[in-house]
Amino acid sequence: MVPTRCSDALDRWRMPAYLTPAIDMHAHPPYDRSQTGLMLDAARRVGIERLILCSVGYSDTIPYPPIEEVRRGNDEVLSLIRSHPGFVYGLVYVNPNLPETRDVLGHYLQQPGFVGIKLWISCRDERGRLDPVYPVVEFAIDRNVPVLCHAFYRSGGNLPGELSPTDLAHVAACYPQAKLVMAHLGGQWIQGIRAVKPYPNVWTDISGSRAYMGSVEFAVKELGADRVLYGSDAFMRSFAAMLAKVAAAEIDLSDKRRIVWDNSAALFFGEGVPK
Amino acid sequence: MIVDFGAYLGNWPLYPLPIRDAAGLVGVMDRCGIGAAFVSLVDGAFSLNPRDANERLKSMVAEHAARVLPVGSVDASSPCWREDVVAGIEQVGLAGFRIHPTYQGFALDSNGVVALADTLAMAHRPLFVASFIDEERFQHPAFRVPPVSLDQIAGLIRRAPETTIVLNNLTVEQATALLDMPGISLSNVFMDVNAMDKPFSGLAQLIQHHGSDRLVYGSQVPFLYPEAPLALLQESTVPDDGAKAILEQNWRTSEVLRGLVESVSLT
Repeated sequence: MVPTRCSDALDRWRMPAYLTPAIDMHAHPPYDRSQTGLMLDAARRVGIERLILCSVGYSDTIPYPPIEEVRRGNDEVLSLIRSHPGFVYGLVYVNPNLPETRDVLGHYLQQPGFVGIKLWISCRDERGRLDPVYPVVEFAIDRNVPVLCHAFYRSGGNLPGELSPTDLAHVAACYPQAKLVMAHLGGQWIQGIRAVKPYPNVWTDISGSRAYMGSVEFAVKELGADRVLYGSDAFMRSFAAMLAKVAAAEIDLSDKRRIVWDNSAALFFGEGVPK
Repeated sequence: MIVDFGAYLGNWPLYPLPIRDAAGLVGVMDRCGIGAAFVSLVDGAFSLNPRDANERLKSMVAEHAARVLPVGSVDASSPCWREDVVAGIEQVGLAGFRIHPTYQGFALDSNGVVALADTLAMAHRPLFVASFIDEERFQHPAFRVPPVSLDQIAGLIRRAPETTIVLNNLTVEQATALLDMPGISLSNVFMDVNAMDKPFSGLAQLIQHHGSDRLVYGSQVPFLYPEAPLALLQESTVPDDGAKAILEQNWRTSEVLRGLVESVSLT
């Protein structure tokens, strides 16, 4: 039947209730601080009960941020954790090329609410090697926290310090006890998912990018639903539009719950019993 | 009724699209409460014989004529474009034409496109312009195509003011820039919202500053989940009346679009 009345449209498709509650394990504080409250409110309204934030720079997305920028970004996340206890959590953002990285990790991971580490695009040294990443991964293993890694297959070549899914697969092979999350399905999602498939210590999140039809199904088919996580990449993207990827995916309802809650609850909060 | 102004059928060279035929498309439309969709053939954008592509599209959607409005392909740089348009409208019954200028290799504000746009205005058919199909950063390394430039979009709008133009896949940034542009009338121009999910609250801010009357729903199914822009319109930052207008009302303000939709949905 064709819906014909005006009200039919909004009544016909709504975000399914089974996606609530959700954990968004990949979001960022907005650079426009006047938007922060609005953003947290939008997250709650779409059914997100835990929001894991990480900075990618306080004032802008700086590929190799100085230590002041790193600290300001993490301080901002810490402030949001404290002002929204039980709702906002954090990942410690580091530029692994900085000599202060170990101190930064130690300091912020001591703070209640930080549940992991975030690596963005400052991962290679001046020779293009991945050496700066290894101590961060070893630190994460020591503290038993996951590392969310921005990793991308980018047409035309990656940014200078940017990991590819191939790089992440290499790190995963070197450190099988590390818990690594490949952000954004690895950019070009088919290649990204395939690259990390052999490594059971790599999860992936569906954040960012456009809502590619079939991408969630492909991730579940190749990796298993236990290795797929919901993240939005807000403020750069919409909470709801990214959550709709899970709603729309033609996968089992139980797999959808794993993606939006169970897997992140286990990985970041050590909660083995599904909610 | 929700109308989708950005749907496709057909084949994509990089991977199999998850919807193979019109029945599959209509199934997804039902899932989302979409009443009708303007649908073009994605491989028609690359066809050396658009007339053949248009006939293929028509045969693909024939059984779903009450829901699917076929949108033809045309190469504005071809000497045959005019006869392809006439045949497409008169013999195939096309509801408009979609062009992908950067994939097809012509400038949007070229004389050929302006003449095409004028022809469509006289035929009471819309011209759909896809800014891009796949994101530049994920394109095949041997087949990299930029989005259509805003200058060219503005150039066409200025030179073809009588044509109903539907712009697919503009970003919030591009749409805002177009709406801010002095000396340009957008009264016959509509923009779909499917690439307006970034940044957070970007669409809401656009609506706050410019209203929603130039915006329509477009899914880019089967490349994208059609639920994503529906969810975007339900995010708390987007006003309900703006969302309703985008989904169901704005297209009705265009005599051309309303006439085409009503011609199928009332049958």
